[in-house]
Amino acid sequence: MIGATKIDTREELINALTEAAALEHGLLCQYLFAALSMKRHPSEDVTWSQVELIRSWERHILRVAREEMAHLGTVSNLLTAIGGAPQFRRPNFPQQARYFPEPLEDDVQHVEFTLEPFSISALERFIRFEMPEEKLRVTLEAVAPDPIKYVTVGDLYGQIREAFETLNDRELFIGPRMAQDTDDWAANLKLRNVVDQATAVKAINDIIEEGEAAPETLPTSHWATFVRIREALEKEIENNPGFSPARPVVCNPLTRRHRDSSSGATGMTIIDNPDTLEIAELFNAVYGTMMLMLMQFYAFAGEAPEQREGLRATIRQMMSGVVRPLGEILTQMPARADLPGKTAGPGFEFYTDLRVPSDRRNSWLIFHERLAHEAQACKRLAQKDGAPQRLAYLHENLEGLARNVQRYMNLGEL
Amino acid sequence: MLTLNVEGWFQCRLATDPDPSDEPRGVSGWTFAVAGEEDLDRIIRLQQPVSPRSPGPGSKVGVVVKAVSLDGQHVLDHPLVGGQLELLDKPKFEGRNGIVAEDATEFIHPFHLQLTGGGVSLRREDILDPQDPERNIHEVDPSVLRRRQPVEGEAVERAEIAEATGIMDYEGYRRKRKDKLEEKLQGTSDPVIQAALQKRIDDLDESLDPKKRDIRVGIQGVGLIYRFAIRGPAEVVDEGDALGGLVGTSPPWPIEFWMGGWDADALCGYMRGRLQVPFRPL
Repeated sequence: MIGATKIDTREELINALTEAAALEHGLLCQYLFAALSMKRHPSEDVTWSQVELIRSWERHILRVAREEMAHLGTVSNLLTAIGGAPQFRRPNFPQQARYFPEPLEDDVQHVEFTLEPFSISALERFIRFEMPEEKLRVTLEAVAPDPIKYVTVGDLYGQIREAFETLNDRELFIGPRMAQDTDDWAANLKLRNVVDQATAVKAINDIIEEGEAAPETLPTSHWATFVRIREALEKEIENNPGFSPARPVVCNPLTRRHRDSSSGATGMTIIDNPDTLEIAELFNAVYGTMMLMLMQFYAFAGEAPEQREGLRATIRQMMSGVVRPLGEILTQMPARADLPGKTAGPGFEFYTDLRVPSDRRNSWLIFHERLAHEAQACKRLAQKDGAPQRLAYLHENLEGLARNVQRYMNLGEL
Repeated sequence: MLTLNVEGWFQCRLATDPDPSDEPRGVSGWTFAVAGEEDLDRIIRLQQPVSPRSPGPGSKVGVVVKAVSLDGQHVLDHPLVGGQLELLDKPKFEGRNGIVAEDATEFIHPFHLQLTGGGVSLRREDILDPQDPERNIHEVDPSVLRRRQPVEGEAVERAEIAEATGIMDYEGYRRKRKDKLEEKLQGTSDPVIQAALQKRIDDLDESLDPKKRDIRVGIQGVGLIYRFAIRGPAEVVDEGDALGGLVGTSPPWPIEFWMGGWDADALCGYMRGRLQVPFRPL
C-alpha cells in the first residue's frame, strides 16, 4: 500500500469507509458529468462514424458510473456491518486539495475533483483515480494516525481491507445483519452482503478488481476502460485534428458559490442565464431528494418490505427518468452571457447538509412534498417560451414519482 | 359475434433501461438508433415502419387479418380478410423507467385501433380512465391501469412464438444476422452505412457472449399477453354494405393478443391475437 496509513481502530475504519463513500460518490458524479457532456448527433459537428465512437465511450463511462453506485452501496453495507452510519454527503465541486495526493519533489499536490467535459484531460484524471497501485512508483512520507492518506481508490481500499483482516473479527461486526442491502438495483449490478471478515474482504477485493484490474484480467475494469477510451480518442484526434467529442460544456457549472468548494485549475462557472439557472436548480433539488431517499433506504428505519421496495424503485426511477435527462438538457443550455457558445451541465450541488428526520413518517412526508414541489417547478419551466421539449415529459415523470411515494406510504404503518 | 384473427410483425423503435424512456438514440440500454436513422420515438407501428433495417423482419412489418369467423364459422370471403390492423395516434408501450409501469407490465397508450379492408373500416378507442377521460397516464390510479396491462401469471408458449416468428434457435438467428451484416459491410464504402452496420454487428456480437445470458437473446422467446374490452367511441364505415349486417358500437369489443418474439436488432416484434365484434347479419 502506497498511502501507508495503518487503520487499527473501529473509529479509523469507519472514517476510512466514510471517506471511501464520499470518494465513490464524487467519482461517479465526475464520470456522469463527462458522459452527459458528449455529443450525440451529426448536427453537433461530428460525423456519423464519430457519433458511433462517442456513443460507445459514453456507454462505457455510464456503465462505470453505475458500478460506482454499486460500490457506494457496498461501502454502505461495510459501514453498517461494523456499526457505522451510511454516508451520502460529499463536499461540493470543485475540490482542489482533498483527494488523491500527487507527490512532487517539494510538496504534495492533489488530483482535482472537478466536473469537466469529456476530454483527454478528464480521462487522464479518471485513469489516475483508478490506476493500479503498482503503476504508481511513489511513496508518501509517514502520516499521523488520524488522517487517511491514499493515492488511488485501490490504495484506500487496500488499507481498509488490511484493517478488516487484522481487527478482531468477533468484536468488529456489531451491526444488525438485517441492515444489509442485498437488492437487485439493476441487471449486472452487484451489491455485496457483508456479515463477517470473509464477506467484507471479498466485497473489498471485488471493488478493487472492478476498479483497477489489468485489461487481461478484467477488460471492463474502470482503469482498463478509461485507458482504452483515451487511446481511441487520441487516435481519432490524430486522424481528425479538429475532432471535438464533447459539447462546449464549461467546467463546474454551478448555481452559486459554496463555502465547501475550492477552485483549482479548471475553475468554476456561476450560471447566469436565468432559464438555465432555474433548470440547474431543479436538477440540484431532484438530486438532493434522491440523496435523502438513499439515506432513508440505508437507514433501515423499519418500513414494511413493500415500502422499502417502493423507495428503492423510486430512487432507481429518478436516476433514469429525471436526473440523467435533466443533466443532458443542461449540457445544451447557455451557461453565461459573457461566455457565448458555452453551455452548462449538472453541478450536483448540495445547498445544505442533507439529513433525514429521525421520524420515518416525517421523512416520507418530506419526500412526497419535495417531489410534488419539484414537479410543479418543472411544469412551470416547461411552459416557458422556448423551453426544452423534454421538460414536459419530465414534469409528468416527477408527478408520477410523487404519486407513487404517496401510494407507498399507505402500504404499511409509518 | 364476429371474430377477427390478426397477426404480423410490428416495429417499435424504443430505448431500453437504464436509458431514460425518452432517450432519442439509445446509449446504455440494449436498443439503439444507428447512423443515418431517425431518432427513436417509441411509437408502435403495425404498418409502414420507419427506417426499417435490413436484413431482418423490418421489411415484413404489417399486422393483417388472417381469418374471420362468424359465430365460430370461418367466413373465407369476408371483406376484412387480408385487411390491415393499425393502432392510431402514436401508441407507445408506457412504462417510463418503471414510474408508471414496471418492466414487462407496460400498457399500450393510446389504444385506438383501426381495421380496414374490402371497403370496410372499423375504428374504436379504449379510454384509459372512463371516469375521467382527460386524465394523463401519470395521473391515472394504478388500479385503473391494471386492465390494460399484460395479464399477470400467464405466459405465451415459447413454441407458439417460435412458430409465429420462425425464430427457432435464438442464438443461431442472431449469429446468422451478424454474418449477413458482416457480408454487407464488406460490400459497402458508404461511411454512414458502414457505421450503422458496424454498430449492429457489435451489438449482436456483445449479445452472443457465451459467458452471459443476454436479454437480447432470451427476449426472442418471450411475449406479453393483453386482454381487455375496448369500450370507447366506435366508428364503422361500410358504405357498400360489404359486411352484410350491423356492428354493435355500444357493447364492448373484447380483444386478446400477445406481442413478443422481440428482435432487438431489427427493433421489431410479432403480434398475434383476435378481436371480437358484436355483429348481427341482416
